[in-house]
Amino acid sequence: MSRPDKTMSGAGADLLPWTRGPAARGSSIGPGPSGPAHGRSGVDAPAGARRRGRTAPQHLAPVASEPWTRGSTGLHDRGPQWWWTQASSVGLLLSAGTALAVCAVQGVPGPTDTGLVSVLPLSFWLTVALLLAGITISVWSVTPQPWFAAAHVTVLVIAVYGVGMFGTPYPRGTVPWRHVGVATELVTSGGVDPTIDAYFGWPGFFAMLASFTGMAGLADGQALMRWAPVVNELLLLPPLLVLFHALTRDVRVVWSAITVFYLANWVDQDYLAPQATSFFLYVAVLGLLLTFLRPTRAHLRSPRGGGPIAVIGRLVRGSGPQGDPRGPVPPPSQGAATILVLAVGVTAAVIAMHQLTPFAFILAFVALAVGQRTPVRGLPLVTGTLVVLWLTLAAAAYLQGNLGELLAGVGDVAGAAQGGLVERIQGSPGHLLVVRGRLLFSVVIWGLAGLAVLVHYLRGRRDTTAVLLLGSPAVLFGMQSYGGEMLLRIFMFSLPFAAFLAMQLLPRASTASRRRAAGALFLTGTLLLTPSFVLVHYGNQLLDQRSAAEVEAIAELYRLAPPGALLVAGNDNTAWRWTEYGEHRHVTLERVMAEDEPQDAAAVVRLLSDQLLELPDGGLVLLTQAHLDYERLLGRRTSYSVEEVQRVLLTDDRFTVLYRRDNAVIAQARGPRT
Amino acid sequence: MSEERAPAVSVLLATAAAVLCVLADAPQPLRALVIGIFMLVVPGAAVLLWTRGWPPLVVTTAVLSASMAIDVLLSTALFYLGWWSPTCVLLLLTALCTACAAARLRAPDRMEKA
Repeated sequence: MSRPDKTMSGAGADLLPWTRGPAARGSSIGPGPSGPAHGRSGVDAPAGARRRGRTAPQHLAPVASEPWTRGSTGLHDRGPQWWWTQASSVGLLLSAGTALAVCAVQGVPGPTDTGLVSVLPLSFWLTVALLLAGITISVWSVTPQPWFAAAHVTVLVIAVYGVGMFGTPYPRGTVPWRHVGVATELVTSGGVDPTIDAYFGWPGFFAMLASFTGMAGLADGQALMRWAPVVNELLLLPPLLVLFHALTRDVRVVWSAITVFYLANWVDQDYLAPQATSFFLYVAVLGLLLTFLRPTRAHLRSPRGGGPIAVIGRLVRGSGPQGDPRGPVPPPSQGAATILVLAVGVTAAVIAMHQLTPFAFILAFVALAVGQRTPVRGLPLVTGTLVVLWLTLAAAAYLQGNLGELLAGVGDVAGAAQGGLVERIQGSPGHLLVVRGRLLFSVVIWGLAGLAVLVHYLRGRRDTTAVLLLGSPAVLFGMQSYGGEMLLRIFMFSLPFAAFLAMQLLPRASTASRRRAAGALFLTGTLLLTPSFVLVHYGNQLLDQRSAAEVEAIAELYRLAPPGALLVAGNDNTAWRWTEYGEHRHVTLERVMAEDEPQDAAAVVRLLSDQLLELPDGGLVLLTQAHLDYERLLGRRTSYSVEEVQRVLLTDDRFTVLYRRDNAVIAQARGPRT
Repeated sequence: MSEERAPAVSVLLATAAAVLCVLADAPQPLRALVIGIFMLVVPGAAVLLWTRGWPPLVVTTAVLSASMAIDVLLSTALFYLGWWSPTCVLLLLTALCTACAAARLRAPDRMEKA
């Protein structure tokens, strides 16, 4: 890659969006000659015309300096205000870093039913407050300082997404362990067996993980599990910046939206998982498309002609002035073709990795095409074709066995609501607070976005692109319950745009008083958002945090398990399957008892013994404190409890206890197998 | 070394570093770090050597995306073909990055202008 052409920005070019020339310093977003003071509207002159020094056509508003191309200020141009901003930002960053280090050393006490919000030390809250103050100063001062904003946001991400790992050597949750096992199984078998389970119908992420661990000389991917959330969240920063810069020229809105995104991304899909990588690629592709493949003046005119697409396009676009096709609008020859090829390639990779994200891609591409936010109309068709090819070729074996179940949920909005909402609202009082908090939190974020859209609509302005991409994931709701997680995934796909739109509610920095008011509002809002985020993001920490006793018990389980044995765990809260993935069948107690419906724990133990003795390879039962906590927190769905089963198991002659330590029990059915 | 050649040379050097780490069985965590950076950055940087004038953030995003896509598609294809091994993946990525960098070094005037 060559460095960007320095002639684009004049002398002393620093081609990052955060360094601006003196002309733009008074209002960092640089109003164009024909735009309002906040520089939000207007169509940009072609970048090529600007670079070559030609006068832009009269019908195109000359663009204020692009976020990418503003020159840096000389030190002699910086007054006391600038130095105060720099000193404050550095001071706050260093103080926050110190507080974070103290928090990391102190560790975090054991979580309660509401997770970490009630137990986090003062050093954590101080860290976040200092960082938010630093972001506010960096972003809402006279001249925004994006470098400092970036530094503060980076440390903020480490703090809020890393605090769950302080004081424990293990990753959060159970699923990352399973994903390590899938990658290991690929390595062991040397090929893909799609009949094992759904993971092997979409093995792309695990194949990449296997390649990494193999080339890096690691036994498996366990070393990546613990800090994967922090790494995945930090990786999101560049594409989010690209995406938001494609939506607005206002660098204050960009960084405010990024901060709110990170304080609102509670859905916990950032662990070592295909969906985390797929989401990164989703944001990246949309950001790149909106940067390079932007509508020209011709596209921004109301679509003429008949046909359903044109009619829908007129309805979607409306008749008001379109918000802000920000950023450069290069002619198609300048990178558009490359980005198009990149988009198709990335989409193909996502199709190989994840079941759901390709459909989010298709919906986003359709929304952009119908709303005429991109001149490229063929992406939905190309993506859809690739999806069909994958489903009929690579994932055919999985679909053949599960098509009925997959299709049963299509159009079942009530069922999706049941799985995503109703079934989750049960459990201990603390857990109920967390669940209701999550629902309210999501409604508030979406509500703020909706309010911003309404306010802009009443003012005669449209944010069509952001609105389209905010709403397009909603179509997924009627497609499948996705194991009760569809609402959660919809929130994730819509969050960048919700955060962006919500920040449109802040006052424009057209005067000093409005700028200070906006900064105060931003700081207050984010300070209030933080404890809410901790409540909803870490609300299940009691279940997500692994204990040494559990990890050791599971390692012992695999040491004891005979080849081909059935392994029965108390419930889903089991950090297993990271090894011998294809060697054993892994089931839960509820699954084993599903057909028999035992009335009490004694019946469970009796039935379990009978079933295990019938198996040619036998089986083992694993019950841990994590299973007991899961049941207590989420509520019991059966007539028996894991705790009761454990109590009976320990005294029943039908079972031999092979391992018992710290409330973790491994037992084997006693007696000759039939 | 001209500015235009620097990215291609960087790709070659990073590829060489990754290969050396593997061949020399470099100690952890250095080896994991080098391979991780290699997989995250170098394949995408190699195929995007011909771009010019892109803002740094856009370059970063495009490089990361392209790298991940190449890693996923290559690894997946090898598994389906039954040819997967860490050595095979490394060889193919090395060949891709080296070929792209060499082609770029040979043809600096035919690059795409952004």
